[in-house]
Amino acid sequence: MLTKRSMISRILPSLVLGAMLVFTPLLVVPKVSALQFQNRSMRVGSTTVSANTSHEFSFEYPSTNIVGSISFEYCMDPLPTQSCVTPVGLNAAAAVLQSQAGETGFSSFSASANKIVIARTPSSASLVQGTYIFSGITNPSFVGSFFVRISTYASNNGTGSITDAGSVVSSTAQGIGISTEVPPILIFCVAVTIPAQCDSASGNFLNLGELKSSQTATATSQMMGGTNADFGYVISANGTTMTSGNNTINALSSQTPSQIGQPQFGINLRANTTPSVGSNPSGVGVAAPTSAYNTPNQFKFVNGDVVASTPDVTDYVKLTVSYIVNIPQGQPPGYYATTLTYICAATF
Amino acid sequence: MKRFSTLFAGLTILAVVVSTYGHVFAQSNGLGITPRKDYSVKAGESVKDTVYVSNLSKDQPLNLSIRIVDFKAQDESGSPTLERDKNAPPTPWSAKNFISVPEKLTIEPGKSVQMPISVSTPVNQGAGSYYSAIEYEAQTDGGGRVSVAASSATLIFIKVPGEAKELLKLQQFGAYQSDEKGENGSFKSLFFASAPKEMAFRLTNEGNIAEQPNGSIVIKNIFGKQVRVIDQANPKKNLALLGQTRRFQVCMETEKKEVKAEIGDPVQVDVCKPQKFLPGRYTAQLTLLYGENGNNTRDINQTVVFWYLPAWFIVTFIVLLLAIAGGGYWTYRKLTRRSRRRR
Repeated sequence: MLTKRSMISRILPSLVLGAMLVFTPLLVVPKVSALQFQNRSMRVGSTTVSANTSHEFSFEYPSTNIVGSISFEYCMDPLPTQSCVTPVGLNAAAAVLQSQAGETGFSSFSASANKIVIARTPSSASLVQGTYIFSGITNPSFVGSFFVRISTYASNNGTGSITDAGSVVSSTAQGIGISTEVPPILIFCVAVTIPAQCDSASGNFLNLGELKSSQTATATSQMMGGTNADFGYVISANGTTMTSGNNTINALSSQTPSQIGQPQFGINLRANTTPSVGSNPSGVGVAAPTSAYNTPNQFKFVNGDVVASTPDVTDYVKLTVSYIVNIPQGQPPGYYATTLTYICAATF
Repeated sequence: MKRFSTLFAGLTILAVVVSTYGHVFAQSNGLGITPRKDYSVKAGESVKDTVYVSNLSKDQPLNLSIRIVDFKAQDESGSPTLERDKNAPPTPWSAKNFISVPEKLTIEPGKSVQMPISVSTPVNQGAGSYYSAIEYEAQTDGGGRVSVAASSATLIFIKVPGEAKELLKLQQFGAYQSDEKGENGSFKSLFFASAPKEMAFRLTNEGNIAEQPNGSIVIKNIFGKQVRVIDQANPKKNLALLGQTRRFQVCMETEKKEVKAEIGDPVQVDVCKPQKFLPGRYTAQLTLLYGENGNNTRDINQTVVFWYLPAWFIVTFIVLLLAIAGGGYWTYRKLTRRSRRRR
């Protein structure tokens, strides 16, 4: 008869062996290694999109290995292990090697739309900064980053195994005064009511009537925003709580339900039941209230808070802002008012 | 009768005055603008350009008060916070003194204008990024308890080329899970319910250039086989502003998703596509490059590990482990019995 201890001592090795068999392959970590040029840079004569300009490359040779050729390959990705996608609009087929310094003796070997190869009689490189300037290159036709993978080869035709390598980054920009076909536009309107689009917006001020300690004063305003810019936008609420001279009604600094008889000024962007005020966002866009202003029956107001946002292109979205005001019995009398400015700005 | 006629005439005039008053001061509160402008201006030089401003109202004029304000990053996202206090000191990166625009602008109903803007930098201005915003505030009637006003801003980024300090520090990189609302989320290395759909990295900008890093993320499985390549690690060309720690998020793959709209047809939006990874260990390799035109290109490289271990796999694994243990025990028992019989 086996005791419990002897059973465990017999089963345990099997468990450990089984676990090792299953886990060992999972613990293998693939090694990553890369040899790169140091102090490498790229200078584009004109960064304007589609400009025909010069491209200057500079890098420090990291070894004294034999170098017979250098290739400059324009891609959308810096990694030489990945297949190269040519930046749209780029054309280096007419590139001409204008000058060289440091490690010299090269002449143009070949040039295609996205790859330039210069070559010389193979010889040892020195540990120097090499600089190569090409003219006649057409920049990509989009605004944004692109990469050039630079590689040296022992061969004199840009083939064979890579000796040293490194990538550089550059970017294009829209020229001053040059309009794109569809320029980015940010559209925004605020009003008491917006029955349809922004052109139907009407009213700038809300009247909450006489403030009473026995009931919640409510009102709504609406706003619409839309943009074709792919970085989206944010809308922030800016202003103070309601004031009358030195007297104020407390703004709700965190999400709080409406409580009659308590000093409260707050907003949200949802349809509420307590009190019954507001509407949910509507429209064909993707902009949405931020979480702090997106819970029904929970109100808040902090100057400068972002109340709605979209990270992307969005069509019109109509947002209804609900306002609640509660006052206590001892609230000093006066005409309480405020101006809220809703600022719509692009994100970056 | 004469008195009545005089009173009637007086009331008519008053009514007209009130009505005119209301009409004259009715203002448009809707505008369309150029959201952002980027300039590269050498020290001591200037450029002249225009920005688009339109009045969205078809029957009310748009009276705009225009001023240059500084802004900063609100958090790790790309939300700008405008500094609207007129007495606030300029930020270290303020471009207020470089930008000139009209102080006021009136646009007729339904019309648009190309508002002139000029950017001039001082002769001895150091290289780097400078940015401020043009704030357009629609002038409102006022008069109620709560007045609402629309305001929009054009973000202006100015680069003064030259030898600038460029330094991005990687704070975090890994598989990322956004919260339901997509505003925040967390870096995770273990995924149980579903495979990760997003990768993210956080960079702190310690230089004096607003950087737009880009590069790629390669995801490999336990056998070193490439399973995903994100060739644009910063597809929206987001910026890390000066002093900001910025979070950059990117989908492993995107797909179109139809979102039901309350009015009109459903719309299609880009969302992160759920990933069908096999259970196991994955490595993600981040390669980022950044550097201004003519400055040295800088690298950021990082490799991280994440695991995808769904519940079904864990159960299967435990059953398998128990089966191996049971099999081992059974074999052991069988062998020991045989050896006893031989004795």
